[in-house]
Amino acid sequence: MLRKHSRALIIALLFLIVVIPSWGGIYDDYIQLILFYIGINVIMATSLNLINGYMGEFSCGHAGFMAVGAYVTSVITVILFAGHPNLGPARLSPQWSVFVFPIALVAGGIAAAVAGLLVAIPSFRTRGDYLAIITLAVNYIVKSAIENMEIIGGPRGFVGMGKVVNGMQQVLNIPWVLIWTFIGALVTIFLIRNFVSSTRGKSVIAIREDEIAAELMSVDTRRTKVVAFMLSSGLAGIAGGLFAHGPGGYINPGTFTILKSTEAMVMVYMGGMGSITGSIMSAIIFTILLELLRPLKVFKWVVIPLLLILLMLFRPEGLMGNRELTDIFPRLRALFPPSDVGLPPQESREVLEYAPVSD
Amino acid sequence: MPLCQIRGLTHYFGGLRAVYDFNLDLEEGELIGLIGPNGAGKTTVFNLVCGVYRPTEGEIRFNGTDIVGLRPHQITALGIARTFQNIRLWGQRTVLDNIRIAQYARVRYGLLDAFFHTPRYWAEEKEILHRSLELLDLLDLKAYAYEQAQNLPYGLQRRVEIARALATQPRLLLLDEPAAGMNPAEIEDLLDLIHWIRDQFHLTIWVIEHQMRLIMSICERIKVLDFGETIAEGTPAEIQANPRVIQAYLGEEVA
Repeated sequence: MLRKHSRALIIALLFLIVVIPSWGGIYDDYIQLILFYIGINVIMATSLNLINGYMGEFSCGHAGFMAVGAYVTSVITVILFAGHPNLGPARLSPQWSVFVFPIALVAGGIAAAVAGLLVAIPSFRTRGDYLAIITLAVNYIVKSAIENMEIIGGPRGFVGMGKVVNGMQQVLNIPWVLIWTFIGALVTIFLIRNFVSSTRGKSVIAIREDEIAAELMSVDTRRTKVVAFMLSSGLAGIAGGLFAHGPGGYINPGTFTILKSTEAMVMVYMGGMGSITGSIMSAIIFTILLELLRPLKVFKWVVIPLLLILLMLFRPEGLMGNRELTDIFPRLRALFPPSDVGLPPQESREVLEYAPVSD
Repeated sequence: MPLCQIRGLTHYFGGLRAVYDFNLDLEEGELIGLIGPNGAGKTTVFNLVCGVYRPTEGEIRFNGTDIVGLRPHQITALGIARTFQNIRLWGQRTVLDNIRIAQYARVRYGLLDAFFHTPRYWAEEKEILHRSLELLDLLDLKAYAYEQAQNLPYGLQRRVEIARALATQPRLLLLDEPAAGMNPAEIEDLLDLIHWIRDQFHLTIWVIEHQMRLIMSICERIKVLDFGETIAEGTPAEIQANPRVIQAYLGEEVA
């Protein structure tokens, strides 16, 4: 019973914990902001985990794709609903943004996915450190390109998203962006979990374990890499689009530097490579930790890296290692529908039906 | 028409000639051996056939198709599978996953089915699962289906590698030193396994091996390479008596 309705249950629970209190004014703006950052970070960490964890490549330019998504989404919404000194007045009444916002998010995601090809295609020929340098370069290319586009504000940044969000709130006064952020996080988790549990998606892991063996065992490694990089960067783009519509309604290229990419990487390695629940947990912990340590001011950036060093020394595989929460607490499986037909027999009726494993 | 036809296969690594003018016709159902001293170019021949390297010269036709220049996964999908000299399983995955991933080429559902786990996805994944368990059952590996491949003993890992190659549904199976590191009892089992696989799956098998006992007792035809060149070809008895082979392996007698 629980298993059947677990998805609805999770969504209902999220609304109960996150959205309704925010709407009803129980959470103040500050707590809402933290929840918003948690949602964004869950998307960033989980999507990067597909590359750095599951595929075993070292991508350190994730913020570049976030920037592409942030700018494309905001340019669309601002042109249509807010108007911008360089881009002309608003074309549509701000109320329509309720419907267009999710479409603009997807458009930003698609643009970021296309940008992901900048990394995917070199990855056919290079691996490891060399590919890491390429991802780093892509991060810089995106940032410099935006800095040099005067029409969208260049290094001064881009504004107007606040009006778009206000437009949505005129229609119905609920925390729209927060809701979309949590929907985005759920969709990210859902897509990546589904992909890596399919035979098609498991090839990503085969590439990590032994790429040559994968290619020789009929896996189209190029196609797999393109799919993985585009999915990962596309989701980062959606995170960017959401981020741009956060409180303040302002973005500038300086936000999407290597430091932002590093944050995403830290969350992946802290949570455990190849563990979705690990990435979710570490995104939550990391975001809250950043806030808790705020009184330390600049020393925050001494304490947090120190904690990381300690974590890597004493638990190099991260919080979860390669496992999921359901591997540690198998009873949780009762809550979730299985993502994979081939789980050990005690956990999957399917296999038991086939024939019991003897001996 | 032979299943696989190799003509004038030549490969250079920079200035080093690894394989020179290699010719071979593999008939359907044959069991052929490829031997030679270390560094003779045996594995290179396999890598050329599988598409890991593109030959400098020469022609490889498989089942009537020219496969030179195809990417390895395309060649595998056409029906050539192999095992590796040093085991190359996906160690951290379960044995079952190793078998399932090797069926990648036969997955017909699209990406969207994989993203959203549509009914089509479940139907096909179940099919793949059943096929995989069946194969593991046939090879007496079913008890290990949920073990991580890297945790199995060496001999079993070799067996899993053969199972994984079979999962791609090959017509030609290339075994690269399947007996390396095995003790005599394990080699005995391997002999039976290779024979049994050929009959069960109607395969053509091509083996590289250093274990003369194995190669002499299972192969119908043997080819001997030395420094990339074919120095002898024939039945096991002919090869054993061939003076050039003895010279290549043992060196020349000092007069």
